[in-house]
Amino acid sequence: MSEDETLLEVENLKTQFFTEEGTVRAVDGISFDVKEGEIVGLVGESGAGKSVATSSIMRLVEEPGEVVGGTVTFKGEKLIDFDEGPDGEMRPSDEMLSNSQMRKRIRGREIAIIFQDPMEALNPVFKVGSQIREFIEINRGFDEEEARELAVDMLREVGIPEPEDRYHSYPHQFSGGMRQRVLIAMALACEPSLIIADEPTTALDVTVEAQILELVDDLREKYDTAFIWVTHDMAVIAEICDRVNVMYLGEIIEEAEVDDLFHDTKHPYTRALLESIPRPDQTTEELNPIVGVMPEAINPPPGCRFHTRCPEAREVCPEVEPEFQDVSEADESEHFVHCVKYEDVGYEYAEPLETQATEAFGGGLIETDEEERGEADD
Amino acid sequence: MTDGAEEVEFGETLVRLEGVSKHFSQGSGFLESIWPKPPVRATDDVTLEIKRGETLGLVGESGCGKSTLARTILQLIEATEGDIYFKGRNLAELSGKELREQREDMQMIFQDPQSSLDPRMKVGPIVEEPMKAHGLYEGEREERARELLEKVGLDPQHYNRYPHQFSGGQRQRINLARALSVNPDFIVCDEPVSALDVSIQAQVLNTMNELQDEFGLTYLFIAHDLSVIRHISDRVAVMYLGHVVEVADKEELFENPSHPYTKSLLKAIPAPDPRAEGREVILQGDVPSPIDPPSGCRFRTRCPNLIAPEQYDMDAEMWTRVRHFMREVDRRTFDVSDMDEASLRDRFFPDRQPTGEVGDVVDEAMVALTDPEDPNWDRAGELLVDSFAEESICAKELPVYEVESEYTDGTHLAACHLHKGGEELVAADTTDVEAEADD
Repeated sequence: MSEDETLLEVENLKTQFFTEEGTVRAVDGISFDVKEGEIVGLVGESGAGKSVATSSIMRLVEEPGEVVGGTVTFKGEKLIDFDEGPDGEMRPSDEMLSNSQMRKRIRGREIAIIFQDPMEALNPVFKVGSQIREFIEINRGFDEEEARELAVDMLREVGIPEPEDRYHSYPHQFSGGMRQRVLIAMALACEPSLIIADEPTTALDVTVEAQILELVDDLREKYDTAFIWVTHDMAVIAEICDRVNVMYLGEIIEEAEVDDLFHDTKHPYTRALLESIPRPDQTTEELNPIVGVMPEAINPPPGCRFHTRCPEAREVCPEVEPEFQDVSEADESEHFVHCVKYEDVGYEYAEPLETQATEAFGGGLIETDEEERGEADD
Repeated sequence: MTDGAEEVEFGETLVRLEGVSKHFSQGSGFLESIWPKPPVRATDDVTLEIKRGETLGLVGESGCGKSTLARTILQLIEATEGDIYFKGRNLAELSGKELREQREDMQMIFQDPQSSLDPRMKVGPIVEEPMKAHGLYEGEREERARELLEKVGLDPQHYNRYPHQFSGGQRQRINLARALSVNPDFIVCDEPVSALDVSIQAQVLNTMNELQDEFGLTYLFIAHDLSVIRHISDRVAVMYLGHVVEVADKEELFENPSHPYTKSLLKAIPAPDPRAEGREVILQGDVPSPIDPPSGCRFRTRCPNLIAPEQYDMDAEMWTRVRHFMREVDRRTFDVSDMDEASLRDRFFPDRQPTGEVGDVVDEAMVALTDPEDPNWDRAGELLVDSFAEESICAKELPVYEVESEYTDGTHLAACHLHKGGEELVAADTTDVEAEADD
């Protein structure tokens, strides 16, 4: 399935939000790639930086957020690229595409995006068909009649019954699942090479989710489109992805092929995440939750960011920033992990760290500045 | 404890619903009174029992009436028909004062932990509020609130904090503490963990389990996530479009699902394991509107095992083909502009052609579809649906049958005519045909 042609390459991407309370390092140096026709998962809890990462790739980050570093290469073109200015400052390089090039050539045409809430992406006062038609006209230069035909074909393709009639319906006349199909139809209409799907099935029922995932799999085979699939749901990842990136607090902490990630799990966070979910196919008596909550990205823990909740944390973890390195054997597929356990920094001799994770029950407050909270109380 | 209500032993029926329906009118005012619109039948004829000390899981797709049922049980909305008994007392017959007193024993936790907490109140007073409302624990409320905060896994020191200072999971714990403050017997939990991250979900579920053991609580646990339901429930009720279609003990329901809807639902859940058997997509299309639900069994319009009308003579294989044809025509899923009758027949009846009365109906539908001037979808669809779907026993009678439990001792009810027994039924099995059509 996966050809070795790299479509999208993200290197050391950094996005920060400059707020009054300080700088939020929402995405802090992530690197991953997407090959042609491949579905790559981006999984993590809320606040891990998944959505900021995808909007950064599309250059859709809004104030007060800003992409501050890294390179994103798509089919040899630089969507994001920086070089050093005369004062040692980072500034966009000459190779980086301009905003109008992004708008005209990349967004929609080459990289499409599907959001969690389809109602937000569709205009409620225009008919669904005309919205797809307009999108096709603008992006592919078809005339109105051709675009209309293609729009109806796409609606049929994504399994909308009575497509000729539904072409004239308004978005509110569709169910949630049908709206999501409309967005998929719209995304596919321009035959993009890459679709970014940001939690597209999270708001849907399992039965509808199953229909949509099946549809995506069929369409991927037919059009050879690559996907970046953003989700918090490990079950969806298991079902649809070829490769997976696990995010925690702005960093990618593990990257592997889907089977390796689930059956040869390397990072303690990924393992804890997998152990904390109930199974539909067997009865679990006791769940094994990850203790505590994810700290805020405004002031991330030093060293490994997961050490405050890690059941395997040792004294070395807060002191050493782990490398993101390939730990696979020579004959295995690549398996990157971001954990000092796999490095030669003295983890095996270090004492276990006393954290919440070593205690029986978690439930403490988010780490907050007491004084600041005191002011808020008044 | 409220006066007048009998005490219920563990394992005995605490809450009983008999034929409970809730219909919402679509409009109001003068025009509505002259030309009333048909009501939205959110829940219809639900009969259920909840035993003391158990967790009854209530599962179904969005819009199936789960939350309406929960609110009806607590008398937050009035039932259109039917009776609800709590500890043997009919709640509809209680006066306002008696009902308020009864509510002490019945509490609710909502899905959104943020909007169910007053942002201007501190956590302590929030937890104390129900005690004040019921005039309980005078003088020891603060102490009790602190104690409860600790019980639900929060720091008692956080008594003076505001809800916004807590994360989602912690806010749901505050909700739990508040519900527990009046020492209720019964808590209705409406999707209490679906807004939480998975790792936090597990923490809250574990706490809920511990509290149930400690306080002898009875939960009605509403969720759309079958994995969560499997983890927390003792018994499970499955709802579809306002009806309860299957009720059984947890293991029995998950291992021996007997209603086609439950089967399809279970097959649709993904397992967090790439090596697990892939999920099957059996249910096509959307849930019909509750304004004008299908007659008889409400699942029949999407059921893969619809029973053939008795008056026609066909075997299961032919019925499966006919039903598939009917469905595709009804939903207009193919393009007839370049098809003639032969290619239609080749597509839907590749092996053999329907004969007799069935053959006549199919012929007529095909003629209507292949009209070169104007293919008449409406006529073909109506003809097929009226001749076949509407004639099935599934469309005519509302089923409820008891199924033999295979995994546990509890009763197992399934609302499906396939369990009628006795007579010979010809049921379709469209799963294979539909899979074939997809290829």
